[in-house]
Amino acid sequence: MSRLAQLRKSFSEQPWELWTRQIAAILRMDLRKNFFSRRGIWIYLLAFAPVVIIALHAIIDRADPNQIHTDTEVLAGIFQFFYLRFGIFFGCLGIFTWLFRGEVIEKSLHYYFLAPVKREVLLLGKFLGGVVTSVTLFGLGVLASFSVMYAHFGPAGQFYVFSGPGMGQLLAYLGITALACIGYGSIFLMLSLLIKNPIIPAAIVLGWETFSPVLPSLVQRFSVTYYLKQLCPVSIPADGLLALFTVVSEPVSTFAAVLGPIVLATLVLVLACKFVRRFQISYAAD
Amino acid sequence: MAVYKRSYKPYEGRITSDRWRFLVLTRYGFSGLFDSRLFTGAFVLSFVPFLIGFTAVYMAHSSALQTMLQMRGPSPLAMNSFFFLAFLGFHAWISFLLTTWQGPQLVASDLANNALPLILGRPISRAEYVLGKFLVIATLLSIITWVPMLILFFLNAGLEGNGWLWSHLWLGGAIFLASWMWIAIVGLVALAASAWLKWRVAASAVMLAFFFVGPGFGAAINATLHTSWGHIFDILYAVKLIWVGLFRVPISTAHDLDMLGIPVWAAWCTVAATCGLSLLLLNRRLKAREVVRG
Repeated sequence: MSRLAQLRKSFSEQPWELWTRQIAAILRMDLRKNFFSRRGIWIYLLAFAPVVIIALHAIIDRADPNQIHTDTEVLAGIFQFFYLRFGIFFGCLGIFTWLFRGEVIEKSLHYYFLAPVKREVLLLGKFLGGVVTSVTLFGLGVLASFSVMYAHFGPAGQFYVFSGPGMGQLLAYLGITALACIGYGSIFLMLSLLIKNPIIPAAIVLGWETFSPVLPSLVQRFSVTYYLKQLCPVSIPADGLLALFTVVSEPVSTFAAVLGPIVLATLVLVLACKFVRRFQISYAAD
Repeated sequence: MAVYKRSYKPYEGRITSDRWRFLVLTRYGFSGLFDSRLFTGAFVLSFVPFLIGFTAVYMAHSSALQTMLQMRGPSPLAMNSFFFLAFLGFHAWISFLLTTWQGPQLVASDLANNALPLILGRPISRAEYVLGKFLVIATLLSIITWVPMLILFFLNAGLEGNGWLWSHLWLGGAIFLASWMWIAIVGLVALAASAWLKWRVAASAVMLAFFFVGPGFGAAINATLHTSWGHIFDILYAVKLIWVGLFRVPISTAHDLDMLGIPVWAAWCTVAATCGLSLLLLNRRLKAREVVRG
């Protein structure tokens, strides 16, 4: 039997159904913890803070249909500068580092480890829980921001969304949000498994993501924002001191931009799966 | 070892006087900080910019060195307020990272291990407890910020001569005041975060988020509501604005750096509000008892 055939046989013999059921069970438990705990209130604040500002704008500013273009740029700015750079970044930092370290803090990880569940399955279940939580919260935040922004224009806004480029932009924003959650989430999950206090590496990642536009084009490809910025439907010109040093890199295709964070997440998760097998519980003060 | 198997004996050492008893907390806080070799290494590395600055000051005044390095014409190293502001800014960032890393453990570990009632059960008031813990961060940050900056300042004064020290005494005052303002903000935010979050990693994350989400939130307000008052939510902007004033940066330069979005009094209000809110949170959280729900 050839090696490939052996591999295929072994693949088909795996208990996929059991693993799926186990992942679903872990997912259910984690979703309950993530959505309905007081600890997660600040993530709701991060996700929905721009909605409050946009609602204020809708109340204060007169709805002039000629303003749609300006407001589209403002929304793009809020998405790129608030959600992508900070909101989703810190939201994922909170959600994904808590997945394993949180169980260590609450002294409950050993229950998972004593259950007849493969550690890789546990990791994937927890990662999926984090992705569903972050995508739901930030996706709803972006959706609400978008809706409030165009709702105050009345029929003109409705026309822009349903008969103009609006719907495409909304779908792009939601897709980018999901990709950002997957990309950042995998990095933070890995960091929390590797290091007891992942804050300094997280600060380094934040610095890398912020200042990577000034680095050579090739180096820029190793950041999540490089791919996500290219998917943004409305581009915002950089200003300030950073704009002087920004290196304009050759854009990659949409397919590659979508695939970039997914490939990164897959590679990081494969590494994390290897690492979680050797993960030892230490309930010493964290 | 089980608790009942431990043998206890009364303390026979010298007893610290009542007035300075809070310094015991500072002493132990320090030993806790430097338990980590990695942190100690990072602390040592934080002096690299100071050494660069020291060399720059020396080079700017050594004609022999300039000739050796074939530096002709006017010296590119101008020892003015920009030089000190830039180096202070760099040191402030390093001190912020170090505080974010280890600072939150100061209170969080006491809360997580239920040690706070034991400490406050002794003749130490809550104010003294906060002061003792704050002094750990204040001393650490002083060593990284105003102490090396003043060394550079006095070195420059010594090499410059001709009454430079007296004509630039305001610069020394600016370095001192700007550093202490930064120390107060970072120290109080770190203590407040660690008091509310028993998990020190979460406290570090909240601290980081506080300093970085504010600018994003402020920018969102500015863009959406066509104003510049959103900067009042940005503590880093407020600090920079005050520093620009303290270091007497010309208005035109400040304008070019987009540093005139809000008046200086509003920046001071932001700083005061941050410190006040942190103290309020500390006051609410640090109690000699703990309510257990459920």
